[in-house]
Amino acid sequence: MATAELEIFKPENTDVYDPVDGRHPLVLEHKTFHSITETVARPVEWVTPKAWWAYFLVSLSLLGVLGVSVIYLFWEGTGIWGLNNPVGWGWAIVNFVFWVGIGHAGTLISAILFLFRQKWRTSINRFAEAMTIFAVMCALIFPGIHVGRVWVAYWLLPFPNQMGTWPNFRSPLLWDVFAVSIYGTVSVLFWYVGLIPDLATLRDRAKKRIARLLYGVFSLGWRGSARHWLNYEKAYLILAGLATPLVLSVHTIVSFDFAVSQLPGWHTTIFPPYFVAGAIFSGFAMVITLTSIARWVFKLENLVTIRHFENMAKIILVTGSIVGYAYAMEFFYRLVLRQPLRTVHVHQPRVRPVRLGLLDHGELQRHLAADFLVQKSADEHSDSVRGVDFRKYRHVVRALRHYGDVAAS
Amino acid sequence: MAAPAKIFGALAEFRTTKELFHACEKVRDAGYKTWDAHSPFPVHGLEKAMGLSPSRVPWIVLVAGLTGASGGMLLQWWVSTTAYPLVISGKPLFSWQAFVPITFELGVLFGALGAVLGMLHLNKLPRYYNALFRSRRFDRVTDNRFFISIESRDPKFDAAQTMKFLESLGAMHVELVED
Repeated sequence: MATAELEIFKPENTDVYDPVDGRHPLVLEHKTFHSITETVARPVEWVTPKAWWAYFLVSLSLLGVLGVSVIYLFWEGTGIWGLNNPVGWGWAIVNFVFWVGIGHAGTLISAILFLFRQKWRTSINRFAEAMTIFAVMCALIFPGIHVGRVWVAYWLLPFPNQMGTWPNFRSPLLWDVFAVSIYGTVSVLFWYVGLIPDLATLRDRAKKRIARLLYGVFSLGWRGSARHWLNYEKAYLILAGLATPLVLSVHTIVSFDFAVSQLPGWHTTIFPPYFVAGAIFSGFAMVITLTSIARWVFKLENLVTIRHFENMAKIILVTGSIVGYAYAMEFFYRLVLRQPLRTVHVHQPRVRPVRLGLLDHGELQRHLAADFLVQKSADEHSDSVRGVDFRKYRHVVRALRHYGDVAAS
Repeated sequence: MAAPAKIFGALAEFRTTKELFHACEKVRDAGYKTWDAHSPFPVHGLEKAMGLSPSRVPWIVLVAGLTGASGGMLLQWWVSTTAYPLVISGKPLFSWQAFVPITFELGVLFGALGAVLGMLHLNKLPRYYNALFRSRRFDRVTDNRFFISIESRDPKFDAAQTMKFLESLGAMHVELVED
């Protein structure tokens, strides 16, 4: 039986499976279907090595550090981050943007490369999707904890309540809540739908009764039916088609957290593409990091080949160049506007670039706060919301500083 | 005590996708209706060999997605103009431009749920038990074997004749599966 299988997979017979002649094989060493199943199922079925527990304990203790830090945060408030005004997010937004960005490469691999019929994605998409799910979990922590009074974080959700209040749908924070939670949900759906046939494989290979039962439940009774595959493939294609604009929109909305504010240097239209490219750039780096380890530990060198890394490196090169371009533009603006390099400027119609000098992080936070106030006072005094009076701006900044000092004492 | 077991259908095992493909064409042409092909991965073009009509999943997604998007816009309109009107920066209460992100996101969410639940509904899944799972050979359907099953509900089904027919298609193994 085994020889019969091997015959089918001789290189000269590959046209049976891949009608495109002369293509590099995606899988090395002319594996049979069965040997691929064996290779893939092995890491799931082997006895957990002792070393795994050691690594797990290290990770678990780091998780403990997070737990303790979060409890301290809830007890003491966001002041422990040096955040002393209620408008800025501070440290939490850095983590939030980083983690959402990491997640995006996973969706890119599973959705966009699927739509582009990049067959090499099938070797790495499950890693990448799992990475996405964990990254989104990490990301979701930060909008939750940055509100300070976490026990009322549910006020962000639109539901009838005894206070008679509803959230403000014009706020980018609320867009974030929807974008990231929906992104997480769709990522899980996409990952699980892809997993169903694989769980069925594990069910049919399982030796223990309990394993067979559990895999049986989670594979939903999948039996490889062609009628099922027809609906399944269509659903998968549509999920990919939905996840593609979703992933672009999510990081666009994340960038709105910055761009919709009036903060000089942030209030620019380049932010959405800049953020999306940056997300894919760093996310692919994370996929390569994780895949390199998994490929080595699980002995998947024949399934995840150097060619896969080459392709991922090319994507990193492209997105890295886009990010480089965005950075270059920031310098270019200042060159064109004849401002010193270390100047944050307001780039808006009817407003001359305003020199504010070099700002440190705390000052940036205060300016962000000031910006909202300026916006409000501009509304009160004129019909234009675009005009920003620099004198008023400076006045508010000074007032806020004073307030900050009073509050600190 | 055991009553004579009811037959679920006949199950034929094939070694390659090519054999499966041509066998499917012949089963289709023989006029069977309640039958199916099984493979570890989707075999493209098999729906033509089996004479299946296109999937109805896209229509479910279209309806679900439009429901989500219009529901999202309606919710935001109602909240902003009726339930809890807030004047922000002197903008109109129904400033729809600011509502686009959430409208879009909810459209995607409902569309994705529609795709997954619609697919499961059309496939009549989840379903833990199926008579085919009784066959030990069928365990390899998720590994490296390809199967055709013809159910006894099919009006043309006749245990002996159908098995002979399946053998003539080049199956490496044919068996009857009890229900």
